[in-house]
Amino acid sequence: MSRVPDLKPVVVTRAETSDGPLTRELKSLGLPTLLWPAVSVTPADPGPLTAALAALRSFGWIVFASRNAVAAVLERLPAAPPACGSRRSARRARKCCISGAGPWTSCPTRRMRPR
Amino acid sequence: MDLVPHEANAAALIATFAAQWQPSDAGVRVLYPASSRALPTIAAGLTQLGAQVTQVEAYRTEGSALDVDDCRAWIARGGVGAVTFASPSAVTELARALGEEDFERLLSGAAAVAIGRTTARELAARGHTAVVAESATLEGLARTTLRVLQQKRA
Repeated sequence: MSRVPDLKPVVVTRAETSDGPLTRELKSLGLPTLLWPAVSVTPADPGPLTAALAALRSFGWIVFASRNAVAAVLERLPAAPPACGSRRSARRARKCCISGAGPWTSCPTRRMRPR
Repeated sequence: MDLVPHEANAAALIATFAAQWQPSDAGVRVLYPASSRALPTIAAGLTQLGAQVTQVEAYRTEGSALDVDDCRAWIARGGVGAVTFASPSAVTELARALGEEDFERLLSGAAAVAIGRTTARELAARGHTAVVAESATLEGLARTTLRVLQQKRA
């Protein structure tokens, strides 16, 4: 979409680059943007999450409330990211269900689901 | 996805769990990978239902180094139409980086648009009324921002 005329720019405060998802959405609506990333997302100590994921089968649910959490989990799943429907991923995730606070978590978590 | 709340916030997530909760679910283990700044709402709510929650820090949310002089120049000339906030942390950290006075000046001229009610409450706690996005997604945040700017211009 072409730029909406005579509109002042919109500030993006989330941690993203000039090609980030919110900036893209705003630009697609024709809105000029200013990038003021007030927060940054950095890696946590990988130990606790790695340990929890190694015991994923012992959990009945895994709950996601942000896309950053989804990304961190996918990055640290044991071995390679599981291919949907593989016997390996099905064994690992057999008892694991996914809940997410928003449709934006649904796409990446699909990769963890057994078919 | 096995369970998706009708709204993307912690209260809705807990309510959705509660609606399908069975007595046999008591003691079920729940893994909750979260931000270093995650509010306790989800873990506390699930625990209250009877789940055993393991909350692990999946990533860290921290303040970022802004070009504050550039931000202040935009604020001084009233050049900003709207400010989007996708988390309470973004509210806290922008206010910290700019200082309360410039934060106040910014939002006295520009519309504040929050991705959800939790973020809007963080703004309200600082005396600012935010428009809440039509859906708690980045797409919803963008669409609502466009609508707010169009209404301001009309």
